[in-house]
Amino acid sequence: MIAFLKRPLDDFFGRGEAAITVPVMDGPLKPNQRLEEAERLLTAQGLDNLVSASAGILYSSGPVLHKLCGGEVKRFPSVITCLAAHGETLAVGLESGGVFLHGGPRDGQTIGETKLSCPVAVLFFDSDTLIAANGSAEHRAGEWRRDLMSLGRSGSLWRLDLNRNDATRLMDGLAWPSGIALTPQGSLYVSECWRHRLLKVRTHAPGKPETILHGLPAYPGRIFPASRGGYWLTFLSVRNQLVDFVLREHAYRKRMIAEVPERFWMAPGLSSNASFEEPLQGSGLKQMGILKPWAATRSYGLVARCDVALQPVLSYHSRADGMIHGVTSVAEQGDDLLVGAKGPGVLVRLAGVAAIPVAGA
Amino acid sequence: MALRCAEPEPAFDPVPPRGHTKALPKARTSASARWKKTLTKFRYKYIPDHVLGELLAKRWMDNAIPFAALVIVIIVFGSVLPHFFSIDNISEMSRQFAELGLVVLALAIVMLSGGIDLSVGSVFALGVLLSTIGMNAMGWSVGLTFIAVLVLGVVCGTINGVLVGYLRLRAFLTTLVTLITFRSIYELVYPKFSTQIAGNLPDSAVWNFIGEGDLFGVPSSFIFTAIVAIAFHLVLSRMRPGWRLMAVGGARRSAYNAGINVRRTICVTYICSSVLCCIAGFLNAARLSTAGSDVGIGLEIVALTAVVLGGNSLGGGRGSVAKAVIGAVIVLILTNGLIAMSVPGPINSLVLGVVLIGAVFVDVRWLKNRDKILNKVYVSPTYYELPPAKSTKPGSGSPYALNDKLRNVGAIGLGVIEGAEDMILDRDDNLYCGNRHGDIMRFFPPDYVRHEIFAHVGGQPLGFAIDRDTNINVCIGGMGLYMVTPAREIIKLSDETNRSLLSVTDDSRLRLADDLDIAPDGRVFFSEATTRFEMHEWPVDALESRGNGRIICYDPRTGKSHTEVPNLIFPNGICMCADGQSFLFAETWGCRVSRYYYGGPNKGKTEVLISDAPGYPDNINRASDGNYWLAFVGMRSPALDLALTMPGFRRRMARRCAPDAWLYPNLNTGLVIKFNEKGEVLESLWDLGGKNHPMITSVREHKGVLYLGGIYNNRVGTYKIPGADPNWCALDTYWGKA
Repeated sequence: MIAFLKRPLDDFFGRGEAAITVPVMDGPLKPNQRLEEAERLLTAQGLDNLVSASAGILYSSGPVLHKLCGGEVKRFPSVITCLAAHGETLAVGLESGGVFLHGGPRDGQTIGETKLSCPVAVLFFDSDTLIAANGSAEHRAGEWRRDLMSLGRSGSLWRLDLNRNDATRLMDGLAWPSGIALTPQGSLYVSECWRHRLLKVRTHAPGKPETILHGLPAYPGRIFPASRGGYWLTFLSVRNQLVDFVLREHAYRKRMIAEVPERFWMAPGLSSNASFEEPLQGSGLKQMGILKPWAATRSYGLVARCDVALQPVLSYHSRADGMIHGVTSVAEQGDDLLVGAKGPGVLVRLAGVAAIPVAGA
Repeated sequence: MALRCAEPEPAFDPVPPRGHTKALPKARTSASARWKKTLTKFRYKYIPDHVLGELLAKRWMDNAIPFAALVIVIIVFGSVLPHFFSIDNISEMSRQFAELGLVVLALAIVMLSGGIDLSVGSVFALGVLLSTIGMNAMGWSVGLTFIAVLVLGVVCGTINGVLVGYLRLRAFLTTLVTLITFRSIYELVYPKFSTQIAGNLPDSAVWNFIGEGDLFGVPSSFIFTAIVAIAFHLVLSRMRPGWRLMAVGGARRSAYNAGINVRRTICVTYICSSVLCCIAGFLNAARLSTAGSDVGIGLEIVALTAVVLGGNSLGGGRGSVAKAVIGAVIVLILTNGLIAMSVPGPINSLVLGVVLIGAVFVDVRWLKNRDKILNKVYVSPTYYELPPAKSTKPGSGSPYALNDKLRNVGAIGLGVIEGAEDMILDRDDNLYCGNRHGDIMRFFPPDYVRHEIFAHVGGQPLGFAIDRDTNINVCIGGMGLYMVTPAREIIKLSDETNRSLLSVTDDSRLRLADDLDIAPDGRVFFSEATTRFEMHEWPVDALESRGNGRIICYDPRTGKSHTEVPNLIFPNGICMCADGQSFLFAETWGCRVSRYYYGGPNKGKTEVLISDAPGYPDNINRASDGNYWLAFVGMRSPALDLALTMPGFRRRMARRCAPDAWLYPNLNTGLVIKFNEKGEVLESLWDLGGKNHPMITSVREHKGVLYLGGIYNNRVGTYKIPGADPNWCALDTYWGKA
C-alpha cells in the first residue's frame, strides 16, 4: 500500500527512485586521456570484434572479417556482431541472427538462427560448447539504442551445443547482456548493460545470478580475459543524467522514438557531435572554441582493467572532447593492448599496458 | 571498492508504465493526442507558472503566511463571536493591543538583533506598579510618573543590556534570571502599596485621557502605540541604527568586521525593550487604574508567540515591525476570542503553546526551504511549437543547403578577443568589438593586428551601432544602452523602461540589452532579450521559450525610454529598413524574423518574414546589394524541438537534472544567410564542423568583407564576399557620405 502511494509521490517530487543520480567517475575509474593520446593504428568503418586467433589478430568491419595488416579474410552475408576463437575455429555472430562457425573441423556450421536473433557476445565454453548472449528478443544487435530507449529487458543467455546443434536458454530477462567471460572457477561473468551492473552466473544454477558490481557510471560492454591476470572491461558509453531522466519520462521517450530520427535522439551513442541536429547539453557549449573534457556527453571511450573478481583497478579514457569513443573490443599484442573504438572506427595501441600484472593473477 | 556507493544507489530500473507497448496504436493517437495537445496549449497559455517563482523571490513573501493566518483568525472568530465587529469590542481590543503591541515590539527588537528578552513580563509589571504608585499612592503628576517609568525602563534595560551585550552572558539565561529578579522586586514592593493603590484613584484628566480617552473615536493609547510602531519601522527599515541592528542579528561576526559596535548595539536593544515594556505598563495602569498581584505573569510567552507567529526569525536578522504587529493582532484575537467563548484559562494557555510550536516549526522550515523552492520553480517552461524547419540537406534545393563557404575565413585578434558578440567598423576602417572583460576593443587597419582598449565600459558589450555624430551606441549586457563618444567619453543613455502593468517583479530595469539600431530621426530601438535571466545564463531562456523579451525605444530628445514591442521570444538582432519607418528584428528561440513599423501608415504593425528557419537567428545587418545579412547563433535539433511542445518534461528536467545536463539549443554550429525584405533567403554560408566559428552571433559587411562575431568565440572572422562593392560602407547608407 505504501509502495503504491510512494511511487507517484516520488515521481512528483523527484525523490527516491525518481531521483536522477548518476555515479561519478572516481577511484579506479578516475578520468585520464590515455586512450585519446594513444597511437592510432588504422581506421576502418565500424571497426569491431578484435580477437586473437591462431592466425593472428582479427577484427571486423561491417560484414567483412579482416586480419590485422593482412587484408580481408572473409565476407559474411550480414554485419558481424560478435566473434570468438578456439584453435582454428571461429564463432561468428551475425546481425541476421545465429552463430556461424568458420575454419576448423566444423567450418560452415550455423547454430541458433531462430533463437539467437540478436547475438551480441559469444565465447567457447569448451571445444564443443558455446555460450552466447542474446541482447534482446525484440531488436537486432544494431538496434541497441532503440532497445535501451524502449526499456528493453528481454536479453537472454544461451548454451549452444555444437555436437547436437541445439540451443538451451540459461537465463532471460536480462537488460542487454553485452559481454560474457569465464571465471577461473568455470562460472560466467555477464555485464548487464542497461542496468549498469556486472553479474556472476553459475552455469549449473543460472537462475540466481550474483551481482558483483552495481551502480557503474558507464554502460558495461564486453569482457576479455587478460594474460597477466584479471580482465579487460570495455564500456559502450557513459551514463548521462539527462538520458537517465528521459528513460523515466515515458511520454517524451515514446514520442522521441516515434518522431525523431534515431541519430538525433537524446540517447547514448558510440560517437557524437557529428551533426548539429544532435542534442546538446548545457556543459557541451563550446567556450572560446573549446569543448570542455568534463562536459556532459553521449559518447565516451573507456576501457578498464579489472582483477579476477572483475573489480576495476585501472582505466583508460577518452573524454567528451576526444574522439576514441564507443570502445567495443580489445586484444593483447605482446605487452601492448589494441583497443578498437567502434564509434569513429579507429584502432589504437595502448603501449605496455598489457604487461601490468594485476593482483590475484 | 571505491565504485560501490556508501548508500545503495536507487535501483536504476525505470519501470515501464502500465499498458506499455512498443508502439502507440495509430488510430487512438490522432484524436486523443490532438485533444491533449490543445489542452496543454491552453493550460500553458492561461496559467502563468513563472509568476510563482517571481512571487517567491519577493521579500514580502515572508509576510504572506502570517498575513494569511491573520485573515483566517479574523474570519473564524468574526463568524463565531456575535459582537466581534462591534465598535465596543474593537475599541477595547485596540486598547489592549496598544499595550501588548508595545511588549511584542520590545521583544521583536531584541530578537531581531539575535537575542531574546524573557524579562518583558516582569518589566511590564514593574512599569504598572511604578505608575500606580506614582499616580495613586504618591500623587505625582502624570508627567513626573511617565518620566519615572521611563527611567525605570532604562535601568532595567541597562542591567539586561550590560550583562548580555558587554559581559556577553547568554541572553536566555540572563533574562530568565532578571525575569525572576524583577518579579521578586514586584512581589516585595507590591504588598506595601497595595492598599494605597486600591484606595486612591487619581483625579487627573490627562491620566483618564490616556486610559480611556480617544481622538476622533480612536483610542488614545492605540494612537500612541501606532506612532511608536511607525517610528520603529522607519528606524529599522530606513535608518542606520536599524540597519546595524539587523546586521548584528543576521551575522554578528560580519557586522563586527564591518565596523559595527556589536556590544553597544545589543545593549541598546535591551534598553529599548525595557523602556517599551515600561511604557506598556504605564498605559495598562492608566487603563485599569490599579495593579493586581498577577499582572504581567506569562506575558513573555504571549509576546514570544506573537513575535514568532508574525514571521520574525528566532535566529535574528529577519523580521520587521509589520510582522510583530501582525503577530500581536493574531494572538490578541486568539486569546480574547477564547476567553469570550468561555474557554478555561489553562486550555487557553495550552492553545497558545501549540500555536507557538506550530509557528516555530513553520519559521524553521520556511527559512530552510524557501531558496530551495525558489531554485526549483524559477525556470518555468511553456508550450511552444515551432513550425517545421526548412531542410539543410545538400542538394535539396533549399536555400539553407549545407556548403563549406566559410571554411577558409580569416581571423582577427585570435586569442586576444574573448567573446565579441558584435563588431562595427567606422569610416576609417577601424574595427570595434566587445569582450567579456567589459572592454570595447579597437583594431587598426590595414592588418588589424595592432589593437588597443578603446574604452572600459564594465559589462560585456553586445550590439553596436554608430550614430550620425560618429558616437558608438552599444548595448551592454546587465547594464543597458550606452554611448561612447570618439573622445572615449562613456555616457549612459538608458537603463530602464516603463514598468509593465501586470508584472509581479519590477521589470523596468534592463537586464539583457542585446542589439540596437538607430532610426533616421535619432531614436534608438534596442532589444532586451529576456527580463527573467541574467547575462551569463541567457541560454536557459530557451528552456522557457516564453515571450520574456521586448523591444525598447530610447528617444534622445526626451532622454526617456519606453517599451515598443513587448512579449517577444528572445528578441535579438535589429536592423533599420531603408524606408525610414520600419525595422527588422529576429526572435532567437522563436526562429523567426519579423518586420515592425514604428512609423508611417502601418505604424504598430508586425509582419513575419521568415518563420521556418532551421536555426536560431541572431543579429541582422545591411548588405551592400540592398539585402540583409543574418547570423544564426545555433541550429535547431529535433530532440529539443520535441521537448518544446512538452513543457512538463522541461520543467521536471530543470528541477531534477543539473544545469550542466540540461537539453540546450545546439549553439555549437553557426550559419550566415542573406535575405531580402520579402523574407526570401538568397544565400547561405556554412562553416561545417564549426572549427573556426562554432557560433555566429553577428555578421557585418564593410568594404567587400564580411566580419563574423561570436559571443563564445575567441576571434572575429573575415570573409571576402565575391563580387561585393569594395567601397561600400554601411554608415553611408544610414547617414549619407561623409
